[in-house]
Amino acid sequence: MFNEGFSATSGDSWVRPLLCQEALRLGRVLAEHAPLEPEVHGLVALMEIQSSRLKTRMGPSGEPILLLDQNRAQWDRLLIRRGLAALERGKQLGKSYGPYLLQAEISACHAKATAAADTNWIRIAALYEALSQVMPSPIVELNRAVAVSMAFSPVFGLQIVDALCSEPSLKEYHLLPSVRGDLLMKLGQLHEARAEFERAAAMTRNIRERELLLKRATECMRQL
Amino acid sequence: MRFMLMVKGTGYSEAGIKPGLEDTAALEAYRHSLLRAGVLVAAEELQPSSRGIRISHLADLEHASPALIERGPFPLEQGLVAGYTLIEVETEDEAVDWALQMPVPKSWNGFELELRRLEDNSGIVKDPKQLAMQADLADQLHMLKKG
Repeated sequence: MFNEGFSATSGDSWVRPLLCQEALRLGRVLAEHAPLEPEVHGLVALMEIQSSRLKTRMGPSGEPILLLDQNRAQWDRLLIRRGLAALERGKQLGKSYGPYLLQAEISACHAKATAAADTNWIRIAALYEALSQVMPSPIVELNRAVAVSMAFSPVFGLQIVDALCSEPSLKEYHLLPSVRGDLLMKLGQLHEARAEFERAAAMTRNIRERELLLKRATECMRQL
Repeated sequence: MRFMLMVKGTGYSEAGIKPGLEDTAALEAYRHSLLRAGVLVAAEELQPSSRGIRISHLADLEHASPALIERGPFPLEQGLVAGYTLIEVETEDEAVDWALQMPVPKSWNGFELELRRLEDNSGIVKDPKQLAMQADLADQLHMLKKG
């Protein structure tokens, strides 16, 4: 319910905050009913922190604004504080961290950084590592690869992506070559990056996404 | 890539007449060869459309109208499905080859087969959690590019 409100696959813009609000309300109710369950606090924390960015993640004409370009001064401090408190409550139960608690921790890392440059990427990389232990999934690995690239070097991020590439079940997963392309581009390996973007473009059925990928491929060419 | 081999209904299947022993044995053998080749995902037969139910939602945005519920039988001309076999193969040609090998029940007086390719999602389900993580990935990649 929260994700539907947050990522807004459809519906009017006024519906979205309402959906998030209602999900958050239900989460808070649940936390009082199951106070000894760390994952409930983790989920509430995650929703509170994500909600704090709700106002800043969409431009005037409804276009999405990515985290880096959001005006952090407009993030809702009250919701962040509530989120951090819920996170603390979940952690103090002293049980091992589940997926929600870990995702809330990651979200908290961004919330605590007053500027994007202050983001604690080493911590985020470690949290994704932990998340991939409790909830193994290619998308978690890809996130980890980028976090590792930010914290240390895209060389190490690339190693993580390459490990995924040998997985036969992922051979049609377009996000793999797409992320690989970005990492290679960062390393200045433009020929290889271009090939990856083109490969990713051929794999996706989403027209908008394909255009973006082909644009990235031409960008590589221009920089050569 | 996955293909669904749909066996279209006939007057026989609609009347609930099962293929004879010989035909059933041929079908069993066919499924075994699919299984041995490692391409069989699922195979099921459907009951006649007289046991079916259709629900239609009419596109009337002005008035909320209840869904229309209809019970079978439905007309054969509408291309009813009598059974399906789901296979996973490397190429379309391979799927057609397998489809051509499907035994024709002698007792059925001919039948039609339709092949449909399934959307590929390579086992990655589009659940909300997944979408949320993809949004996180987009945020991180953006920072990597600009950083």
